[in-house]
Amino acid sequence: MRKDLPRVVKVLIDTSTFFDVWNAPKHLESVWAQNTLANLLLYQVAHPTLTVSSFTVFEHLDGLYRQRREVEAAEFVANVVPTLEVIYPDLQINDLASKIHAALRVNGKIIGIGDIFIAASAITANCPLVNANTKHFERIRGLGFPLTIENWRDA
Amino acid sequence: MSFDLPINVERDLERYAQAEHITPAEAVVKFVQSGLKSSKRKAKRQITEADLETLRQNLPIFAFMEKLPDDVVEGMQAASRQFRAERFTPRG
Repeated sequence: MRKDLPRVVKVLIDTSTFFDVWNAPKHLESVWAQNTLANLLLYQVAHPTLTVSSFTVFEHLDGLYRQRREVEAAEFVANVVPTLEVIYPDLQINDLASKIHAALRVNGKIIGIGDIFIAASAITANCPLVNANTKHFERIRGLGFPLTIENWRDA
Repeated sequence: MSFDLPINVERDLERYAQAEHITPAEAVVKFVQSGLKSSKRKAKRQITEADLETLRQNLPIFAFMEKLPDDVVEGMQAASRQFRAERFTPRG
């Protein structure tokens, strides 16, 4: 199979990878920046609508509001969010997130609640999770949950 | 060139050298070469200005974020990191 063919499998892109994308144009001399943008370029050919968790929307807005950027936040809500496929935490995701949280807690491997809901969203949507900081998510996979993790920093 | 290695690294290198039936000096050279090789990893492809324009045209979120000042993007990233590090705390 040719490596430069557009990807077919839909993925859920996590916030850390988005921030890699936002920072990459300023770091084009770095391999991680080149790889992240190259993966996004290939992916968006097959999937022009990017799939994200509502937590990623929340984090972008939270970051803008903390800096009193209300105008930009309003633009983000009005013009950017409608161009994304946003996965909101429904009952199925809540149920799975609870199972993951309980398993992590019982095994002394607890991670942040945002990570747990994002992992539950990816598993429920049957999407690999694209993340630039895979360490926490490995704990979830290590407990037997069917989470597929990708890092676009890798070629 | 000569270097002082931390004692724990020296022990690890000696163990590795014994296991591989090579001298400690050869083990050091092997590790340095392997480190240098991985630092020269090639990128998947070379991103051009035309690629960035494609992302601007096709992905409104890319165009939106690119317009924000660098310090605002940095502030957003810091806020996100803080949020991800938060845990449930016991009720007081």
